[in-house]
Amino acid sequence: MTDVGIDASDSGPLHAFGRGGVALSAVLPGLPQLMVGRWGVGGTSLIVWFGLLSVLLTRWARFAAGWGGPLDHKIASLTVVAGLLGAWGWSWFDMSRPAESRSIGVGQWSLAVRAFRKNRIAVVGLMVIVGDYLIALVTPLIAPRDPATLAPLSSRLLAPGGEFPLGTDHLARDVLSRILYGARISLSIGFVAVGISVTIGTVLGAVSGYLGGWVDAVVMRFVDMVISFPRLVLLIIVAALFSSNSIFLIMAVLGFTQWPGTTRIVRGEVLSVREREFIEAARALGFSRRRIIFRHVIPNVLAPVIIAATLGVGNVIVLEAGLSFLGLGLQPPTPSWGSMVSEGRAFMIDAWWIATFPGLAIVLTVVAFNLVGDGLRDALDPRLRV
Amino acid sequence: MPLLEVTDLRTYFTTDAGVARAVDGVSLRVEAGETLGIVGESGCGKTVTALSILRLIPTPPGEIVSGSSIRFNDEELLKAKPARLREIRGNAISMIFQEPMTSLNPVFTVGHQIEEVLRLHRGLSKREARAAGVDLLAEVGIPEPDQRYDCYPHQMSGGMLQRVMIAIALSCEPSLLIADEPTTALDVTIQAQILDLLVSLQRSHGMALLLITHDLGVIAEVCDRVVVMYGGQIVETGTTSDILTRPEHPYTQGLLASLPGIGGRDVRLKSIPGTVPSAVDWPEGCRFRDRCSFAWERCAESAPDLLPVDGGSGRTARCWLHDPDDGSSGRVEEPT
Repeated sequence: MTDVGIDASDSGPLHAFGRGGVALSAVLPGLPQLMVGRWGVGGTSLIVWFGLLSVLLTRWARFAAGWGGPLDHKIASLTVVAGLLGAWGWSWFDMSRPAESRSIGVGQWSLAVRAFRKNRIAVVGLMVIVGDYLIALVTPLIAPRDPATLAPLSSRLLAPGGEFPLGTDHLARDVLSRILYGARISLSIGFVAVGISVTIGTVLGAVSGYLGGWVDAVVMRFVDMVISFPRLVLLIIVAALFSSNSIFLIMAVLGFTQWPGTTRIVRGEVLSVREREFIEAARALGFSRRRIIFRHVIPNVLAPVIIAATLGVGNVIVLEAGLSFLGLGLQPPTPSWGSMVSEGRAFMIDAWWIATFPGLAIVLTVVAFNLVGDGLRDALDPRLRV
Repeated sequence: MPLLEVTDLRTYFTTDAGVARAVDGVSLRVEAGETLGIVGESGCGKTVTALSILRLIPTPPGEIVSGSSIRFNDEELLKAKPARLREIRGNAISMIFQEPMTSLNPVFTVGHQIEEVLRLHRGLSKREARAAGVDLLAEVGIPEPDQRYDCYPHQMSGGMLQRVMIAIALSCEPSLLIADEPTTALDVTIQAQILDLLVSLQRSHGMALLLITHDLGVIAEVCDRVVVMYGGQIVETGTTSDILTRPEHPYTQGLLASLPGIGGRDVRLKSIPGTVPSAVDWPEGCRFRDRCSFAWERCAESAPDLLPVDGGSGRTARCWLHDPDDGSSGRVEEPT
């Protein structure tokens, strides 16, 4: 192999751990990585390990009951098991493989990973996102109480502290539990809606850019049309048309209006990729147009797609919050961050905690996605890479 | 029956400035197992000829004009359906390109790219394809092929990548390999190695080679026969030794005269005066006449077809100097 990209800071000390490092990682996953300064991966696995372990120990009864419970309880219990095994297994694997294979910069992806790791604030953002999703998955195990259950009326509008760490709202519901359950709504909407939009955007953009001609003209005029239509109006109309606003409807509407940006980015990239010599070589090898578009063109334009997707998640979460704030999102009592802010608005003076904490959750998550998006842009753009 | 027979190939491009007649009536033959060189300067239509053979001309703006014919193994490629063309490309006819650094997909390992061809055209399983791919890398002279197989293009040098391209081109045992300036982007020592490799592989696989180059040195080393192109047309054909020792067309003479020789350090290199005219409007008559020191009125009126030269040895040249009915015909002497 070439000696391209052996990271001196990585190979020496880790190797020195030898079998001791493997044993150490079996006891505390992430610790050996942390000790040699790989704080990103080390810290993440340590935090995940500790967090899930404490969930397992303190909520053992719920964890055990989870296997027979509803789907989200099953998923939560499964996440705990998979997370613990994953953190432990990964750390062990990371320590037991030879130092060279860990840090040789092979493909452009591993180069990008190394560039991304240098950007500390983006790594913190990634850790916040990973934490967000983990919390959303294990919410049924960790939430202090049911988000929709009303406590006795005497405990309305209680300030944070004591029995209710983040206070209660005007219906005596626990704000912390509602934020935890709300995370599932916001994050899954962000994830699914962006999944839909990125899939549509990438395929349409690649086909339109590669084929050109009338296909390109039709697709791009369609993009212009979708972009020119005010999105909020469309969302309000759809919300009005369907009386029951299920989460899937919101995901679909957000997803199916989000794609034009991705399409334009992908088309622009494809226009330059298709002129590269390896595409002509692929045609000379008798590859079909479909194979060239999906197997050769799209992998070359994935970098901007990933950036757009990451930034898009933040965008969609804000949109959903706005929609819920306007009362057009999910029906109460389903908790969503946006609707919590909306409900807390009336009590802003007397009970600031109702709107503030979900608002902070939105800000924290969206900022994390934007930080990761910016970090990815720097890491994936070879022109910015030194 | 020749392996490849191109007859009166005309490939035109529609541009804003008009119709560019990039290839304008090219006819050539490649026999099985032989090496034919196409030589000419930039813009003479060599590459477009090669791309036309594989039907890789982007349409529009390009178009192969009706009346052209490209027969491969007695099959008319200009009438072949897209699916049939895809079967032929990379399988019966392979092509290697000028820039090895950019001819491979940067996001996949070289092994992945060899595998893809083997699996598509030869229907091998992933494991068989890997074994065959490593063998191919070894055959084209890549050291440690097993490890190189998992390298990405940016980890290899230009010469190595051109070997990989040759391995991919050879993977399906083509009967014709088109090499479009395969050594132009490489430095001189690597050029020689790649040419040697091409020649030895061509012999061991018994395939025909259509070598496109602007470098007469490459032609001299590799080719059996040569066609010289100028202005979208063939201006001279013949065996390599004949063309190099006794060029008959003034353009070929100019090309040879402009080669640097060994010894004459203080001699100024000769060049052909003027520049190549635009493909959008070739001059009437002979396309070389503005740059030709022999040109006379007749050259402005019309251009000849390829006229036989030198008593039936199969050599031809597109020049009135070789018109048997003209008084001035015969062997061209250097003007003093």
